[in-house]
Amino acid sequence: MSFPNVDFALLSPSLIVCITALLTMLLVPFLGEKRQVVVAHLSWIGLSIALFAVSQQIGKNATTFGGMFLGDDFSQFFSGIFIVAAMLTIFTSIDYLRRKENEHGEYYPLILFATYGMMVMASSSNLLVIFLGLEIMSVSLYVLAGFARTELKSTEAAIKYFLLGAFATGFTVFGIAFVYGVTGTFDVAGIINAAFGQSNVDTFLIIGSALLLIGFGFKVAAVPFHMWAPDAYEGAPSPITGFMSAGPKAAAFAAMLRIFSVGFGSTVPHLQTLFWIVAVATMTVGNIIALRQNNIKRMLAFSSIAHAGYILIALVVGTGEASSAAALYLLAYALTNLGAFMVIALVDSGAKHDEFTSIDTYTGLARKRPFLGLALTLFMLSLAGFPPTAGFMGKFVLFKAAVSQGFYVLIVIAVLNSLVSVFYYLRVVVKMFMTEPDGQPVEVPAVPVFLMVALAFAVAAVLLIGVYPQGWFNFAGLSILGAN
Amino acid sequence: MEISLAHYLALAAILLGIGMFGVLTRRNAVGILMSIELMFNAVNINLVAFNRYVTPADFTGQIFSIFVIVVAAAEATVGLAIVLLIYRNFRDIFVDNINLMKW
Repeated sequence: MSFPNVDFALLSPSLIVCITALLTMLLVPFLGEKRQVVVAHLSWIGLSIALFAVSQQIGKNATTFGGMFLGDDFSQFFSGIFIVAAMLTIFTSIDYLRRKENEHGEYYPLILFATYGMMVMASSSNLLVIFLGLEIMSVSLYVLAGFARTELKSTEAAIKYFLLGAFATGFTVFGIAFVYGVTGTFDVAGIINAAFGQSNVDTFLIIGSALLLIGFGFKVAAVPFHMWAPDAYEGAPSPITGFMSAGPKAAAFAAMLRIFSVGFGSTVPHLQTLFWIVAVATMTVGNIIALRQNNIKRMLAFSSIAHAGYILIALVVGTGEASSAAALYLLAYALTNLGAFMVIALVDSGAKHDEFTSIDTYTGLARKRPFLGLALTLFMLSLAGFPPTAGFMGKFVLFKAAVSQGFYVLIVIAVLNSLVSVFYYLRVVVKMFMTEPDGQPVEVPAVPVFLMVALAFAVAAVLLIGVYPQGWFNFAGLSILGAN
Repeated sequence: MEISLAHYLALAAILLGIGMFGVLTRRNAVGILMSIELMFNAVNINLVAFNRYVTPADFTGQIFSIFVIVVAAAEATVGLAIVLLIYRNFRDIFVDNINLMKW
């Protein structure tokens, strides 16, 4: 028996994340209750080594494991997003868990396992590997959503996320089975080769891709499969909510771009129309329901649904330019949302339970803590899409890609939606700057060192992408070339 | 009667239908979990049948079904742990009663 020829250098980023996760998981029981924070530090050190490994693999565009694992720039770009998201989440969590008296070391390896799953998901165009990555990610996230074990809301979030997530997985695998039945392969390129150019497309292939769309629609919280998202986002611990909105969303979109954008869209009839309807429904429903939310985490959950709607535009358009615009959008959205959730987690950690998650908590915050107020304002402006922030650039390149292909109606709807969204984002800003608190304002804890570093990084990144998007866009554009 | 691919697909579709019906109508969290397992098993039948009739020369479909079994086991483990947690906190596993968060 011969050992297969494996390119370990290409695998190194995901291997480092996986090995760090396994080692830290083993370490947890040997550390006393007081020293669980060691796991956090080992985790982010491991992640920074993995990030370095990613930077070494840029431009290689090689494959290994017989083409099942793709190390193109597309996967390196997304691996970078996932690793940075995980690091920022860990920095946010260290103090949060201590204040919530929930310092259990298993938290950090679970984040690493989820990150590993996302990296696997973004690094393959084989449906089998994408499915495995999806499940490694999801199973870790179900546990993380319920990590505040004694909080009723957190356990409720976990059960709702789990039941609907597993239900959606059933659809995904059923769709994969049908696609396999028609084409005899799990590889996306092979599937397209088998199905392309045939005068009448097999009904099973249409059913299969529709089921795949349902499964991934659940994962990115597209309407009408979004019902789990508000509850899971509201109940999960605040840093995990930020992580859930940044990482898994980017991973699911990376897989969708690989599966649908590269060829399925043109192979299967009506799929583009279906995407059009889902995109419009997702952004409209998300934005309108977000208007009347009073819990900031729930509001950002609906905002996250709306953003999924904008990104779905890339799948409607289906060009390489649109795909790289979506990649840039996901990077901008991940950094902005993680930044916003750093502030939210800090405010939330001022109380033992979840008393401090309503928008009213933020009344007068900016007067007492001007820097925190300014940071949250920047993130809200970026989510709303004001220049010169990352969110504006993401929207700009995405809408431009759609307009250049003649999708005028879609973009008019998207721009109107962005206008609606400004209202609820600025509501938080108005509360922070222009409202007097009745009585004593909420006591916000001092910013700990690690959170300070993470917050500074997020602010700088959001501004940098907003002012100088060209370099990032080139990287995102390069990355998609590898995918095609 | 010769058993053909269509028979296997019909069996899988019926099993998937029962599973989906169970997920949508059952109110007991463990019942929902069992219905989801039925859906996964419907997928396994499909995969193995397609492997036998579409690509008899290789085993990709069968290997996928083994992965599906493993994933289903992992999900059941995590799911039962979450159900146990729900029972500890709410003293109840009927999903209708686990409703702190609403519109």
